[in-house]
Amino acid sequence: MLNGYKIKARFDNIGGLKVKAAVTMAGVRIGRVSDITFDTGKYQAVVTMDVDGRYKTLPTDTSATILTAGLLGEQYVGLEPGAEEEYLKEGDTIRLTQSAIVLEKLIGQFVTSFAAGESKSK
Amino acid sequence: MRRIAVTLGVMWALGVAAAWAATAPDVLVRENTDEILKRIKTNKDAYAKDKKKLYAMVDELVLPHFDFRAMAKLVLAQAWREATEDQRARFTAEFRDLLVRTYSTALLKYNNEEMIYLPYRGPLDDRTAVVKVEVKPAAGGPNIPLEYSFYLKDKDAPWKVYDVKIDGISLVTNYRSTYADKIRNRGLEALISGLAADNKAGKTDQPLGPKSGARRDARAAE
Repeated sequence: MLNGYKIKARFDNIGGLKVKAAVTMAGVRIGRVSDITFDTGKYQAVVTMDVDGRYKTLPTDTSATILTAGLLGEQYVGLEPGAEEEYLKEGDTIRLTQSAIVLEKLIGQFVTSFAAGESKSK
Repeated sequence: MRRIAVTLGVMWALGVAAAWAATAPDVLVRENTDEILKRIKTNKDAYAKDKKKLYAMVDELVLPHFDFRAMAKLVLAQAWREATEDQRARFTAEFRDLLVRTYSTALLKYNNEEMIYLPYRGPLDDRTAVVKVEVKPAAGGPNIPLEYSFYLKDKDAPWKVYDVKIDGISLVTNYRSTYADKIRNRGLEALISGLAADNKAGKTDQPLGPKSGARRDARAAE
């Protein structure tokens, strides 16, 4: 990527996010995931993103969310701009993140809440 | 000369003491949660009858540890830049009231659920830290994770919360996208006056988090 720069974000769960996945803002691809590592001290995933050099004005309080294209499609990182007038630069870390919603966990919660509701209504 | 040296020494020591005085975020969460739950247990009926007492308790124990202006700025995002100082202040106040009313009311449904404090592994970097807690639903089922994101405004400032994640859903990013739509359609002024009207009427938002487990159980117990 021409004049690209790298930013990082920490997530508790990245679901099925993979290297080379898209990084988007307003649905437009502005970069890609270049590296995914595991922080053994904090037990978190550290996702490094390579952002196209044409987009140098991402506010420092930009948020990053792991989203799924379609219902069961590929996962990508969606960025939403914040309010700061300082911009993310090479090596910066995004502080506001939202991890992947894992379908199995949702189903687990639904099943137990359903079971709890059943037992209460008896 | 000697006196100056001593004075400087004392000042330096005080400075160090001040820097170390910032209570660690995990201790803040634990001590405050314990104290809040203790008060909820003993005063539940009084709080339910008179919401003002409940809000006063929240004012005293919770609010000092949150940076609502930072949260409001994160929530409004792009709209914050274009907002006037007056709009910023009014939005911050109304947003704070909304959160206080929404989550204080949820506190009243506390039904002796166990709190599990997950191991705290130190700050993520010199400015940010995350503290994780889990609530064990009385009805069984998976624990509900809560995550408090703290930041330090500057070296000597106390740790303050700027985001809370409930069951993995971030409060700030959630409100950021909801309000962005409202602002795009109706403008910031309409959003602020809408919030103000809701606050006056005493309406609460649907709190984030699973609509199951603890809350369902609390309803059943009512």
